[in-house]
Amino acid sequence: MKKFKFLVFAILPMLLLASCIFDSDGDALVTWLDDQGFPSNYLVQTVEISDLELSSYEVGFDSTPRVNYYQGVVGAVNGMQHDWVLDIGFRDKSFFAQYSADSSKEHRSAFLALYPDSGFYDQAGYKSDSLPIKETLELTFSWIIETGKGSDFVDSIGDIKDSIWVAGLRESFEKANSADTTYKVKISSLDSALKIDLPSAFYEDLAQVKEAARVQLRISAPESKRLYRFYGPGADVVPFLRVKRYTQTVVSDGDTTTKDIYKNIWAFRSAIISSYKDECSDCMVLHGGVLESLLVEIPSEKIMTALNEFYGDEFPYTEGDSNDVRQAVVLAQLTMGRSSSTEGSELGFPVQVVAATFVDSNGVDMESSETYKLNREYIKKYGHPNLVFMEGDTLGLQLTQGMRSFINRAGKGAKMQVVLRMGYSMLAPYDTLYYDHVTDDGDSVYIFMDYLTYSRYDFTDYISQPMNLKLWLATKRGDDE
Amino acid sequence: MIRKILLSVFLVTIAASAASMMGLEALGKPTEGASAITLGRGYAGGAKVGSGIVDWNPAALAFEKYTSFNATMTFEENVASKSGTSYATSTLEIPSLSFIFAMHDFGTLAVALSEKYTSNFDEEVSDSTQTNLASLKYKGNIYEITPSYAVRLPFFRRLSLGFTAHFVMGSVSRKLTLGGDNSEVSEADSWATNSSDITETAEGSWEIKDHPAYYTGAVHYKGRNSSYYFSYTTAYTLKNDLEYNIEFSETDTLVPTKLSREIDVPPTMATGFAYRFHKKHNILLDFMLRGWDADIRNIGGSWNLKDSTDTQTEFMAAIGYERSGSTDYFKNYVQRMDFRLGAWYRNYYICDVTEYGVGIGSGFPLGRRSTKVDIAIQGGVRKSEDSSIWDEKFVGIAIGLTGVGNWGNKPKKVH
Repeated sequence: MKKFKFLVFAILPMLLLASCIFDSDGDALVTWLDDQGFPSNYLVQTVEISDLELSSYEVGFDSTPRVNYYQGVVGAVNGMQHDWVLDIGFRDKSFFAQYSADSSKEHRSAFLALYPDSGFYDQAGYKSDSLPIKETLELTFSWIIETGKGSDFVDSIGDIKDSIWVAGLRESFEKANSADTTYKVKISSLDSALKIDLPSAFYEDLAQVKEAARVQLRISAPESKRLYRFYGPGADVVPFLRVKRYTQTVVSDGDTTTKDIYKNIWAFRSAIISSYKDECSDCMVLHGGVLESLLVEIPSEKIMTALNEFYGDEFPYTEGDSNDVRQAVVLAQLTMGRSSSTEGSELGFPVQVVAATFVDSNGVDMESSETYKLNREYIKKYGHPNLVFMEGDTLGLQLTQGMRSFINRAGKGAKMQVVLRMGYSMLAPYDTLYYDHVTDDGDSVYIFMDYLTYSRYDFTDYISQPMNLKLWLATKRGDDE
Repeated sequence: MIRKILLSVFLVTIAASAASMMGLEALGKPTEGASAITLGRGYAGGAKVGSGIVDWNPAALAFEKYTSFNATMTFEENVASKSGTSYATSTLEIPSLSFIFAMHDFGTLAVALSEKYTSNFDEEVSDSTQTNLASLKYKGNIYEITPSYAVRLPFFRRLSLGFTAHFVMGSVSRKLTLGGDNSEVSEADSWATNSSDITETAEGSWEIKDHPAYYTGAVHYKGRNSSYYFSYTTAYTLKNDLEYNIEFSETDTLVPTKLSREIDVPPTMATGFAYRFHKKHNILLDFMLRGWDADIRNIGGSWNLKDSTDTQTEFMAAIGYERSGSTDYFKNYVQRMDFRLGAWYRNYYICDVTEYGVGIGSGFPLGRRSTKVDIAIQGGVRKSEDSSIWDEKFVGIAIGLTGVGNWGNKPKKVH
């Protein structure tokens, strides 16, 4: 047994030692790889397709209202009108008894308290010298009041799913009561609420309620000069209705004083309804902040012909199961002309054009946002290539994943489609770090704005012009092919 | 003690990453599912009974007296070299696991898990001047589950017949990760390849085409001093269903393309002779022949790699010696040990590759029963005329454990 132990402990360390003595350096492996015919790194080649004209382009707008718990917008900007709808549910028998009493009729009033989204205005660069914001707004209020009984009624309102609620919202407001009113905006401080008196028709309708009500209140300002941002029901300071309950009269020492008693009613969710204000059927216009996209198709034949000429192989690949893994796209970039005008940017910042493409996911085409690789030298000089509303004449969009998936499956008839959307405002367009950071001097750099920008970019003059597509390709082909 | 052994094994495992660098694109290195006993006598000894499972002679199993279990682990250090440059790799493998159920007059049943080919390689180059990154990983094994039955003939008790069915399984993969080579890209465009390593993959599984298994039949004669066997193994077609892909990350891949490669493995003939003298000394001779006539399609190909591997007639000639230890527990420990010695010469299935080597081994009895630890050390060279195949020197150690059970045995007689 001892001999066995000796052997185990003598031989194993010897072998371990041997493995250290037999030196193997990386160069030897490279030589070996080379002898086998392996490359030591993959060869990247570029293929450029110029004078590319899109085979189709089309704007699609999803007019479904969008739930937004944190911010509400009211007004009109860049050819679109954005209305805000607040959803309010409450039950208070004694309040309605007092409020509906005939004696209260002459005292009735209600107003809406809205807080400017100071976070947004800070980031958008509204310095104190740009205050006060003044404007006389023509407001339209529409409302739907549903009545019910018991706490079940109030609970049932909360149970309505957001998606169900917004799906029927436009339609339900078509028959809603409405009234116009004028409101003089004066925002001197971003911390104080706007107090907007509600039309009498609204609070008279509210007087019909006996016990519990659901109030959906829509605020529109179609003629406004700008778009106002307010904190939504999910923020720290929330929008609320303030309704006068009754006027209390107190006689004390012969003096009669009156005091108004109010009830505050908070909205529990809100949605934004966006609509086109000025339709232009021939335009290729993309609006930011809304569910609008521009779907373009790059002609497959052009790409296939270019690859065929470059590699000398058949494209599309139709052998076997037609999945082409002979090469892979390392990067693909489409460049097109663009305007340098800042008109339509809303806040004066450059705005990102976001590209999404279709990639295979287990046999199904999935739309997926493209990744973005930084060309730092270019960014330093010209800013990020995917921005509009800034100096320059070229829009560069990376379509790597989509192009990779397209060439891979072209033999099965895949198409190269791209979805473009307007993205966020870019606060540091020439910064080569693509995330918020602190500079060596201690300055904070925020790359993107945290809030949606309701921009408008007109592609009309550029979308039908020839574009340029550049592919960086890695191949598995050998030298002799 | 146990902890020390575990630690040693662990250290060996860390060092292990690659076996032979030959045949990685084809089937891999042939391992023959050899146990530490067989390796200790240089692959010889198919004709010697009581050696556990020897792949090409199932008929010898009919003479097994005990129900036993055997597991073998091998560690091999390998140095491939060509004109002054050398590259060392090492590997740890379990080439065979087997159970033998001796049923005496009713024959013997056995089942084994044996590794026939292995292609394990996992190496990485990080930045020398021209290489950004290259990591090459082959991971492949062809395993067989082999149930065997052997029985002595009723009237010619010296003669036995044995059969084995070989159920093939296993998987193979090649993953090559590379960084970009921007030599053909203008400097202004080179930003696009920053940190974009690409992994090219080929992955698949092994099975036999059209049949569940292939078969070996053997006949064995056990004389007083001389024993012989002859076996024939049927031809079969190995089928390897492969998926090829290019991966940018684990989730960012292409739709793979699927291909199947078929490898026609010719029939194998094996024969052997064992001569016993002075009761415990044995001279062993074995010969195996497999006449490959078709090339083997390579797993991945691409770049400047060859699409196929040329084959040649594969054979192995082995000569060995064993001094069997006494089974008498009261004898001196050294007298109870087995001593083995052997040498072999073989042609690989890969064209122009020959291997010769020597092995020495010992069996260390543990306890009163015939439980044993076998240790074998083998070393040798593989040579090739082909410039793309580097010559290799190898040294290896195999450790096997044979456990013997009581099941089915008659009570032991007391001396």
